[in-house]
Amino acid sequence: MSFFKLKNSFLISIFAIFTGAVFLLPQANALASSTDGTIDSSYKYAWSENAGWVDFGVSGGNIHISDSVLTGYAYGENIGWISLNCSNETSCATADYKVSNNGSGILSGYAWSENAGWINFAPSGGGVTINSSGEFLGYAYGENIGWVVFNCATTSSCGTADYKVKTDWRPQSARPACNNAIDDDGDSKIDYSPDPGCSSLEDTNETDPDGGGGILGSINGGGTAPEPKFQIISPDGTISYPKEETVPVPAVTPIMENRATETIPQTASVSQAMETVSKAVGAIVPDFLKPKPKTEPPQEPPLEEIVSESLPVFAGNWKLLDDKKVAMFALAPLPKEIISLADKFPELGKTFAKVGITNMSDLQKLKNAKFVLPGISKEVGISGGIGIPISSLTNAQKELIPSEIVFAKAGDLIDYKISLAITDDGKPEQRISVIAGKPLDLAIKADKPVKNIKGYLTIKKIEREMGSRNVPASSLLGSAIVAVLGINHSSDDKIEIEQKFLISEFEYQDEDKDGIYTAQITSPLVHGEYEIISIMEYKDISLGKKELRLVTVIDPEGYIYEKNGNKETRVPEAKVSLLQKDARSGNFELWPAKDYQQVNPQKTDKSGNYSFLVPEGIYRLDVSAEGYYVFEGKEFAVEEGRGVHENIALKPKSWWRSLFGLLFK
Amino acid sequence: MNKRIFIIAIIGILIIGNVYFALKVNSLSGELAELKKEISIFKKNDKVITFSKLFIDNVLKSGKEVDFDTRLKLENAVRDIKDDELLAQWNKFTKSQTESDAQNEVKNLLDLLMKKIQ
Repeated sequence: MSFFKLKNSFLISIFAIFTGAVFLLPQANALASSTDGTIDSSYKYAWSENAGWVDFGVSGGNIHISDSVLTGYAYGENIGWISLNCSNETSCATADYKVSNNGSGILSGYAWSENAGWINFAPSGGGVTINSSGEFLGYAYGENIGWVVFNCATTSSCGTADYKVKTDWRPQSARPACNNAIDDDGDSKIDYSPDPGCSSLEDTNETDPDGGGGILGSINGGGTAPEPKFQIISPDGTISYPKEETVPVPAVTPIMENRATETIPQTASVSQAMETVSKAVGAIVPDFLKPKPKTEPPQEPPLEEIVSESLPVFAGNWKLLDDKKVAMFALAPLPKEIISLADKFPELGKTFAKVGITNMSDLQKLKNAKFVLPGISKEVGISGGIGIPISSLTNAQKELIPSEIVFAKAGDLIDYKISLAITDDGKPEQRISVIAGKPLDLAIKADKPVKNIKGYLTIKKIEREMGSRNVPASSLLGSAIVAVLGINHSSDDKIEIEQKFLISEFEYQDEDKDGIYTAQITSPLVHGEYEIISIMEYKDISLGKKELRLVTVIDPEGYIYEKNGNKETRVPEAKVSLLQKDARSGNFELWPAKDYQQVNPQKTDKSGNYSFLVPEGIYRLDVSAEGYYVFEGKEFAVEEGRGVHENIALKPKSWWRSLFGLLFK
Repeated sequence: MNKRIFIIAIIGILIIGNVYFALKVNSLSGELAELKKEISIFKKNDKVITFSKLFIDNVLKSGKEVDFDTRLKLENAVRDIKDDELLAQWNKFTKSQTESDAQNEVKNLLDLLMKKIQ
């Protein structure tokens, strides 16, 4: 039991020590006196109309007020730290400033704020004082923040906002004679304890002992009896000491006198003990727990001096941003590829001019626009919507074909339209849309004699309806190739190397030696984006090689289906007829597919697929299948060289299948 | 016996409470530090933009001499950002002795201002 008691006491002691230490630590800096004052924790704000509240009791500010000087920092909510003394950052060698105190509470000198500049504590029309209650009064003046008010009473505004800065420092005149830093009795000894006339800091008389008697004198070994220590503390904290004649010495017994003399030194020793304890606690606190001393950057000269310096850069004679470079950016010409296209297709050039596309900054307008380059037949002046075989073109017509453009045809009679778009990097991209598995005739007119023209069909992007995924390379005869690509590469130049999935490789031929090279390929079966890359190798080695790119979009074929709830069932063996509207009679007639190497009507395959590739015109689709109602489609227009591949739903004849479809719609 | 249990319980509660609050203070001070950091970033961005606007309006777009008050505002604004690199670049620009130097330094200054916005 006694062990447990001991253990309990030990634990409680440890707890008490820690709790005590915790409470003592923050107060270590708060110990102060009427000669070395600190700022009251309740009344610590001054007000500036331009800088807001200025906190003189801010944590870490450590302001001390002595009879001669103020040290430490205040903190303005909008201007940051304000140093009251150059000794704060040991910068007195650079800029010697401080806020001085004449001992009577009249302040003068300057404080410094990095953000607000100098603050004058004794400006004309203002000035700051500390009264006998330790309250700051009056105004300081900041060169950049204007007046700083230290007490609401100064501006009679305490009814609105009750604020002031208050300290426990007291003017010398308000302190006891033995604590006023004045040699009151002229014995060259000042205050307690050097002056033998002082028995404590609160002693109000410095007069030296004369060795005379008196009651206390006899008790204290012959010294002059100290004055009775009557202290009047008013509610506002003012400490005053009654005059000798107003407070009669009570006729008390020596024992009572003795008690009175003992009381005050005891008080002083408690505060000294507290200081000792706080120092001791401070000594055992590790360095890393102590607040870091503030390091201020070296003082710069006041801003006015910096700004008043005459600098050519602000004289207004120089152009700070180079006009030429700005003009080069804003008025940059169109990319040479686009200029070249506009030259080759005069109609395109005219369109650019009409819509105001003249320089690089106008390219943005092209981003959302779609241009269509005419097919080869139209380019040589053949109208009517039906193409013509290249072999049938006259020499004059062949001369009109633009060089270095890949034209695409389906058979001899259908020209594919080439649409023109501008890529994100401002380059023109030509693209055509074709139907899967159809023959594709390509033609290029070389601008200069070529040794050969090789073509590569490569994959650009393939997307399936069931999510985006790559088609297995094996199914596409995929094999990595290193294609030598680029525009106008010289033979010796190191040219761009690109790695792509090659589907097929082919060579253009010019059998009739007319300078127009042709090749026939079959468009891929899987819909997606492909690229036909044609590389011309010039006979003149100095010209090197030239690449031409044509993006080829493979549209999926159309299909015939029956709707079963949310699902679709493909209908094989359906008869799909394409009817063309006769421009004269307005009647629909079966489109002559044989002329275009195709079949009409078509029978859908196992997947219900069909497709037609037709010249421009107005068409209609009719579909019939066993067990289904006949479908008669609406008329639709086809632009030049586009496929017909609509997905058509058939209605079953049996009522229960229709009902099933409706129920699960 | 009851008294002993009571004292143990009190001490236990105090210890647990201390540990709990210490952990809480630790975690909250971490959050507070993060928030303070974010706020300081916002404040800095705001100051950089304010200075940039002041600089573009009063120096780059001004075809005349920049007056004392405007320069004082600019100096205060650039110092208010409290960024040594920016202040050094500003000083380089203001101390330019030739037009081409000034053109180069103003580009560097604008570049740096944009980079300082986080």
